[in-house]
Amino acid sequence: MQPWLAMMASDRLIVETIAFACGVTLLLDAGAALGDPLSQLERMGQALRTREYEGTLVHLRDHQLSALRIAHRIENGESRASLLTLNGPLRTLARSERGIACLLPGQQRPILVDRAPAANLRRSATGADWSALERHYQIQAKGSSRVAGREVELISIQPRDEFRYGYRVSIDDETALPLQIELLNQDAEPLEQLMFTELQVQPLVTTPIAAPSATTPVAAEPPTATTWTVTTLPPGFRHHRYQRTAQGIEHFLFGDGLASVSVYIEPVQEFGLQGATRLGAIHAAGRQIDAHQVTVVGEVPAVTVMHLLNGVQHND
Amino acid sequence: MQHEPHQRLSAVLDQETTAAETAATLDQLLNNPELEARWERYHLIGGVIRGEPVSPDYRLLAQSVAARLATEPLISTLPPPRRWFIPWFEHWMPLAGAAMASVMLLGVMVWHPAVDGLLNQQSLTHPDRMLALATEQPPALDTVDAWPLNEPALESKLHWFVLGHQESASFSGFQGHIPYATLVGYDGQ
Repeated sequence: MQPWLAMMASDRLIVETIAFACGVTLLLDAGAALGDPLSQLERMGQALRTREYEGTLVHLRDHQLSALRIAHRIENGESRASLLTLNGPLRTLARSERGIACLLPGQQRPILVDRAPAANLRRSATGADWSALERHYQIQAKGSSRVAGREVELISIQPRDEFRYGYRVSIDDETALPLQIELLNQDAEPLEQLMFTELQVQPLVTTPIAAPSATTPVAAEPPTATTWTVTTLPPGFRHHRYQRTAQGIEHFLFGDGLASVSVYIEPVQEFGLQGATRLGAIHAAGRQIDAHQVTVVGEVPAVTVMHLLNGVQHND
Repeated sequence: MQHEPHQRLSAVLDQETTAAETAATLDQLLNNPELEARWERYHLIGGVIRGEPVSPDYRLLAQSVAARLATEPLISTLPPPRRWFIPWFEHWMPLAGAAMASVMLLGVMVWHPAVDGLLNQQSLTHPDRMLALATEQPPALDTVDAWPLNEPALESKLHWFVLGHQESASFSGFQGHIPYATLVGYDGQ
């Protein structure tokens, strides 16, 4: 081979090597930007807190299909949301930093839940700790698709045991809002499904969201003002919060950082849950212990609420 | 706060009310069948416009449309520009007449094919059966009784527990509207 040909071949090799390296680097960067499921989920959590949007959702569960109008906006740094059914009996919910007002059929009055000041301490400003959650969930990117006419990335969050649900989330490429969310059982079978059929998103708000005092869920100290304990918790679940309401109801909150369960304890009332029940994927179970009504409720499998219910003990 | 009932409902949807004002408005809604009927008509019309599934016999749509045609004139002018968070149904008021006429003409309800396909793709078979409480062994999912809709007081308490739980459990920042949609979207009929 002529020297100049060898030089050209060498230069070409160098150029091709550099081009290949650059291509790989670009592909890796693109993968990190779009394909990294943890980054996508963190973007989604931030979008849910900071984006103003309004749209129509369809909610599918147990062969029942509901259409809901949803609106979320930020006003003076506070998040406000409303939900309203578009078919079936009138059902509506308004949620603000002050609490919740909810109207459901068959109820004589709206259900009001005031947010206690302590509750704000647990509101996250950064969202879930997805890296930590990988101990209990397998999180994978599942490629791209389209929802409501928009490009989305599919992320699978599959539980590693029977004590929590999984999710399959379709995250909007542009806004990072979840346009479709499927709630899955341990076998990855859908239990419920929410999907936007129409969505209007406002530009990012300039008003900063009011920062909470704590940014991540941390395990709370065992409450000292109660005589109740929960002796056995599912793997990864920790005690996060305790409060006694104005009505004298003791409320314990447990969770793994994503799934959560509440334990309510009150003196025996005329109406108390004896046994187990469910509202879609929300399970509840109750029984009486030492003249007190114990009710466990959460969006977790039935086995989880029963596990906690069986672990409730009264220490005299 | 506005004084017209429909404006109060609009304010609730717009989140321009405090929790107490919302409660008062919702309470008035419960005690005012005419207001509730008006509110629901807006939603039915909106569903028709969007092609969303509305059961043909639910709330006797044809009668509702006929009554509205008889009592309210068609609106022929567009509303003035408004802020972004306009109550959604107000957007459609000018279109309502045309939609109602279309409905009357066709006389049928059209199920949205995409939604229908979505429904057919699911295999959610959890027959609700009575549960004998077994505190030692957790029940299987399909043996758990459904929400006690026949016991309003207990049902109300459970709803209160669910909402209180969700407010306390918002630490993950992930679930967003899911838990609330589960509760609000549930139709026990």
